[in-house]
Amino acid sequence: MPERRPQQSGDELMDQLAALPVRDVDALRAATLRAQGHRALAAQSQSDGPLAMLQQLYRRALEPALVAALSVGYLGWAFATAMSLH
Amino acid sequence: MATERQLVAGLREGRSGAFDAIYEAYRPRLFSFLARLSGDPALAEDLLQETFLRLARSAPALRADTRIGAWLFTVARNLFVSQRRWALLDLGRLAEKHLWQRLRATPASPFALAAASETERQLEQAIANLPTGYREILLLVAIESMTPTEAAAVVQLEPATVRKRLQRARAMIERELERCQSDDHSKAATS
Repeated sequence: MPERRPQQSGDELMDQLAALPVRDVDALRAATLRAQGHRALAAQSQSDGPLAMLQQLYRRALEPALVAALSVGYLGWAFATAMSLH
Repeated sequence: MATERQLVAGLREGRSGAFDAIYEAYRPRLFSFLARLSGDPALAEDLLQETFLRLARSAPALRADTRIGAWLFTVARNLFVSQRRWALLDLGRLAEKHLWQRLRATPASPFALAAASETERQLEQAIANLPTGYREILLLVAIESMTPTEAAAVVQLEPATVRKRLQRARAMIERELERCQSDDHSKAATS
């Protein structure tokens, strides 16, 4: 993991800038942010699991086909019923 | 200690240990960068949060050879630019209400008050006084030790432009420091 490495460049201004302290958020906020990151990572991992893939397949392919089949079936039945009345 | 590639691989597999290692290594650096860039620690915290959430959400899509540092600084910087655009739109509305002048005062450095020495305070204030386009490059190169080429990738500019801006930023900082020192001398002479 590369880390910030203040190096002596021989350039006084750049060395002074490189030596400026690194500040941080307070410990409580840092812990909250970490927990949020973990939750987001877990949610992302779950969305790549086999169950999530099946859900995606259902939503993208099976559900539209099912809706289309039911619609065509209903229209066919409605048309056939109308024709039988006349 | 895990290498950057191992951490990226861990992140892609959704391992929280890899996320933690990256979070610990980059959180203070990103927060310092964002706070100095925005001049607002509260905003920096929000942008830091969004940066790491984006890292977690993008984890499975990361390339194996992703340079995490460059990735994080690019996202953080882009979030700041985008936030600033919205803020400027708000300022436009404020200008219509003649409140603009009150907002044009010299920005205060978020870290100047916490500075341990007078030199540090002057440097923090000089950084805060730089125009944003110069400040971001100075922060990346001088403080984050990036090369001008690496910084150019983060700010999406040509390396030659980054070098030029860095030189100008340096000159502005030097002028500001000289001005501070001459102010101090004149104060000492009058007292």
